[in-house]
Amino acid sequence: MKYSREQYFRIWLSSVDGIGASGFARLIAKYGSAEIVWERFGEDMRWIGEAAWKKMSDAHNRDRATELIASVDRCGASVVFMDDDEYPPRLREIADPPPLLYVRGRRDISDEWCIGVVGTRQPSAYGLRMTRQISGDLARSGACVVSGFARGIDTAAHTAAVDAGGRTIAVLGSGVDKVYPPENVELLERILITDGSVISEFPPGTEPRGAHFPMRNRLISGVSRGALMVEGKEGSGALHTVSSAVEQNREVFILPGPADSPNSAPGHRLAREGARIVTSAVEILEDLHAARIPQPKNSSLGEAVKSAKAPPKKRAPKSKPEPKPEPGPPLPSPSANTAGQRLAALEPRAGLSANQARILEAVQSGIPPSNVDRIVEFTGLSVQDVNTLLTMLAVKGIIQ
Amino acid sequence: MFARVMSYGLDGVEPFEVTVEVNYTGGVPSFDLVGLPDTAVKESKDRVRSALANSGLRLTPGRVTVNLGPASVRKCGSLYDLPIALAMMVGSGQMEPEAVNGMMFVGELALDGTLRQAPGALSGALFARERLAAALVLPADNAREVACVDRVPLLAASSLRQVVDHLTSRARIEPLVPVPYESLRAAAPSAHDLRHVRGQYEAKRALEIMAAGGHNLLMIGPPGSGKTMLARCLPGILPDMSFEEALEVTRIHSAAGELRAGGAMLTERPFRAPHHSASAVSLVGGGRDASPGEITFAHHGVLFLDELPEYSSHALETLRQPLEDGFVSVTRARAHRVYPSRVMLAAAMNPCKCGYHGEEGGRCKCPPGDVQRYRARVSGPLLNRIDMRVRVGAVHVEDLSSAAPPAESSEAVRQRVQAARDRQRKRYAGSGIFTNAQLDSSMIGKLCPMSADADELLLAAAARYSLTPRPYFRIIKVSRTIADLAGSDLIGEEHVAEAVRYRMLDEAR
Repeated sequence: MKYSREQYFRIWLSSVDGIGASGFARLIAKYGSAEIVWERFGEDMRWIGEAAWKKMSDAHNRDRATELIASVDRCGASVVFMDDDEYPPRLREIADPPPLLYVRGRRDISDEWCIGVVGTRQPSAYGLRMTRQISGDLARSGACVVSGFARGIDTAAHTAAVDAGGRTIAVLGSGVDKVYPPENVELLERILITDGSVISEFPPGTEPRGAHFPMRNRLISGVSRGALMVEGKEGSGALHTVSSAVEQNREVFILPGPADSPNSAPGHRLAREGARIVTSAVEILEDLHAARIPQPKNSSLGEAVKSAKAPPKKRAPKSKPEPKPEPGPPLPSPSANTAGQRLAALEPRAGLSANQARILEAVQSGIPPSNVDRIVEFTGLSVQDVNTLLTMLAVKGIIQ
Repeated sequence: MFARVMSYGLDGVEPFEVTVEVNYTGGVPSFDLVGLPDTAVKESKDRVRSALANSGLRLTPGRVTVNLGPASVRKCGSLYDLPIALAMMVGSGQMEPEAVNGMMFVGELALDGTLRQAPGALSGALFARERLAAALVLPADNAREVACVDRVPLLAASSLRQVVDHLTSRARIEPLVPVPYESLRAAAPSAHDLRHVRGQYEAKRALEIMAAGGHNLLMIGPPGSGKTMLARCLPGILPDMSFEEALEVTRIHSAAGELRAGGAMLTERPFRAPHHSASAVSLVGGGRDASPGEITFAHHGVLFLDELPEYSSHALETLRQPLEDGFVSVTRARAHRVYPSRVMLAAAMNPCKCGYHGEEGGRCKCPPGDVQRYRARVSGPLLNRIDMRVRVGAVHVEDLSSAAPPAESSEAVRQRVQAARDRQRKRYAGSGIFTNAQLDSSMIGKLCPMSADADELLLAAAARYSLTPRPYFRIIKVSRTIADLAGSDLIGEEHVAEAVRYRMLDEAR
């Protein structure tokens, strides 16, 4: 990608470790452009701080700057500057917006309807299940699921969005060319090929460091209208993300959990302080006054059962004008959600057999689908029947 | 004077003919033993001399040269004591050469002249029959081991004196009367019965499928959930060994000296559970003499690896080829041997280091990442060779109370397994394989007809779980076994659906 001369210098300046978003802003305010900062760099810039000045003087080297730009192209990333149309509009509103973002995948990250979904790296089965369901429904309704690409809840949130054929943005605490955690290589590829975006404010080549993650967290809440915390211990990154959401004046949503679990205590405390308790994607979108809510087509377990047994659900009032979640180019068909979803589309939900309904009931009652022995006890079916039906339901996309 | 007595040696499990030659001349008394003997054979000089003396058989002093032919092959072990003693008797003129003509002898001598158990007696007896020997004289401790061998006179003696008395027609030893193999099989039932395992429906079902199709199985579950106990129930649900299988298994164990003294032929399938400190050599075989490893001792039975990630990764990797091929070639500087290794692999592991990952209640204390690292200790290629994975959950206390309904007995399961195996034997007659686990991808197309529904479901599952060809074919093989258990020639949708679950387990959970 071609950048203007000034943009090249901005990439250089923002990459200097230790300057940060605020130092960048102060330098530009004082000198007018990054090019001038480069040309006039010298002793008189020591006011920026001794450590930062030292880093700048190290980085003030034409070879290093050239190499940096080359590394951006090499990993297929492009740079989105704060004044570009593609820059997330809400991110400009926060206290210290990053001057530029490195983006892989779709360059346009100005999605109108971004919802952050964050949580612990050690989730419970319940946490994972609800994350999949809510993220999947958010994505299906056209919202963009934003998360931090960490293990556990983050990974589940991205995966569900991709599986649903929807849009997701992964905010990394490393350079966009690094995959951390390493087992998520495949997920990263899937995000890229399904028109998702992987973004970072750190230049390519940056290793994941503990100090980067709090900075990453402020971006997750910063690009989003609201942030959902699924599970998170006291002192966790997830809690940090929702704290920044509060500072940035974003909605905070809490998924309720067991009262005696350390993973749900901070969330429940926030709820008492005014955060909103939510149990579904619909509730999140209603609270944000979104007009589009998840259609019961092609959906998760909760929807399936409701449509089978309960009267049709009340639609959210279409008061606000339709928010337009960037339709974008038609999505390439993601590899893993094809056959199953085609099957689901062909077969009406009402076609569930009595035994399939019993299995669903068991899963709905809180037994994880992995615990076959308990489903056997619950339903009284034979173990071979239970395993058979579980596969059929999973292939149809009704359960995980 | 020159004398010759026939015996046999073992190259691994395979017997070969050994000629014990003795040359006896007058002169300064001396004793030389040649023909590549190992230490145990060299020491037989002292055992033979005092055994002869203590049996009341005196030798005239003289120069003795003993040769074990063929001279180029190493002779190991103490099984030549008896033939050497007899050859010396003949050589010194105390016995007629005709007395030992055409007969074969084997056995270790104690200093008092009693005979001790010889390794490989079953191989020896079959070898004697093949060579049309007039008789095989062996220690009484080996009598039960060779009891099923017919069409060759087998003489079991308890001492050197008894053998000499027989050969000099002073007191006859009656040949053993062959016993039919079936009479041995009515042995005591297995100590571990599925009846005593409460709950664990899924794991039990997986064991049944494993036994029916000869598949490999990995059980994943927290400590104390009963993985080891479940595995120990396997021998009780496995189909009976055929006579040929029992012969093969017994010969292996006998040749390695693994049979207990006076032990009969093995009729229950072997169950080997080497500790996780086992080395690669002890698992697949090796050492100076290229001796067999645990996987060979488990031939036609079960190799159980408890705490799978705790084994050295090198040891586990060496298992891959023998598991796939059903035999293992052990090559050392002095020996090259091929041992059979057709086993069912049962493995068990905790889901993570502390053992509680995935259990309800968040008991797992492992930092994130450690769980993946722990699982990564078992390599992908090895996991790929395991057809089925099953989660073994913690046991609920209420299931343990005596009020809970009793579970199905091993015998009932075994009968279903036997029926499924019979179907397979019929289907694969003449194709060189016996179980579904041995199917290769070219046979699958021919021998595993699938209903249209089943085909469609398999494709949908393959797409959903991004299956590569290897797991794809493994699912078909397991479906084949499930269909066999259901008595169906056609693989139906429900069979595929169940099989998919046993493949997806640890990915999804």
